[in-house]
Amino acid sequence: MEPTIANPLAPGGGASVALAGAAARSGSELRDFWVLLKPNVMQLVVFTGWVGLYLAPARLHPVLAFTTILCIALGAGASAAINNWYDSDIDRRMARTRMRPTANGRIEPAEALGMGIALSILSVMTMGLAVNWLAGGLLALTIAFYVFIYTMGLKRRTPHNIVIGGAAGAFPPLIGWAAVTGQISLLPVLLFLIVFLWTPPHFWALSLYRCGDYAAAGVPMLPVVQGRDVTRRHILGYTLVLTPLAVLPALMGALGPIYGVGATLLGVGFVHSAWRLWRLDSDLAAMRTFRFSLAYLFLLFLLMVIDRAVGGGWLP
Amino acid sequence: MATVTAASGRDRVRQLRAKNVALAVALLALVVLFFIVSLVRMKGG
Repeated sequence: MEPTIANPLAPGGGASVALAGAAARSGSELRDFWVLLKPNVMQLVVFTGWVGLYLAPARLHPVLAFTTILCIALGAGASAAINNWYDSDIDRRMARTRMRPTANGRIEPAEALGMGIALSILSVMTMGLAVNWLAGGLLALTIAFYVFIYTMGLKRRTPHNIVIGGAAGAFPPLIGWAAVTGQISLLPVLLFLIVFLWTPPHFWALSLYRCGDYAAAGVPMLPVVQGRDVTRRHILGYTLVLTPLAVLPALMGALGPIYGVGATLLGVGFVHSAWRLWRLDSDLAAMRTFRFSLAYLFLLFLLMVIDRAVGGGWLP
Repeated sequence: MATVTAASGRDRVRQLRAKNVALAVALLALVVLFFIVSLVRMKGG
């Protein structure tokens, strides 16, 4: 007889609810493993990696292009799984992360670690053997950087954790480019720098309205350690540096006017959002800047694709 | 109590089976991918 949900207050009802809960867990366990890979982060990484691949001045066989993107996704998932394993103690103390499967005990830490290591090896080896070893090496560097430098080294020690650690998220466009060309040139380095400079204001905006969370978990994010004023000033400063840098590929002629005009307008919007946050300190303003930063990066990279699709710029 | 134990045992078996099927599908997909990649690379793709 299949278990059914019954009134938990009725005699024997608690057991029925427990059975129904167990059945639900069975169905959701695979979903937990999927959540362990941080699919939201994976989306952005896959997208920027694909843009690097698309902008490269050659074409990769569709099967190899698919393999490249798959390996980037698996590498990102591997880093996330190991990060979830290592950070399960602090994830438990933060409202934003306490529902992660390793934080609430739905996945055993050892399982998360095993999955992370297996996916790391699988993604790097597949990238190296199927595509090329420069792309494979960059993917290995990305995973190692995220796990050892950011997660284990910087995250709990310094308020500048995200400044240096952000490099891990900036590698995918380089990997995509390297997969096609087997080398690295100026344009993918600029893409790396764009994501690198975008990461701190993005996460500082988040940490402004999640400040209590980070403080409770003992993570020394900038607003926790140096206060909101310093953080808002840093956000504005980074957007002021990021905006002209993001326009640089168009100024150099590597991308065309569609990208140049779009990147300028997006940059003005980002600086305006950061300026408003600097002038008016509120959680709402911080949330708006955080959301704008997400849209900014997505639209910026989308503009690169559109610009190249209509033939803008020359190939470096 | 005995019903709960038996049912949770069945549930555990179901969980394991789902995990094994997922793993088998992933491995099969990997084999197919490696096969196709090998073909592409042998053709100089």
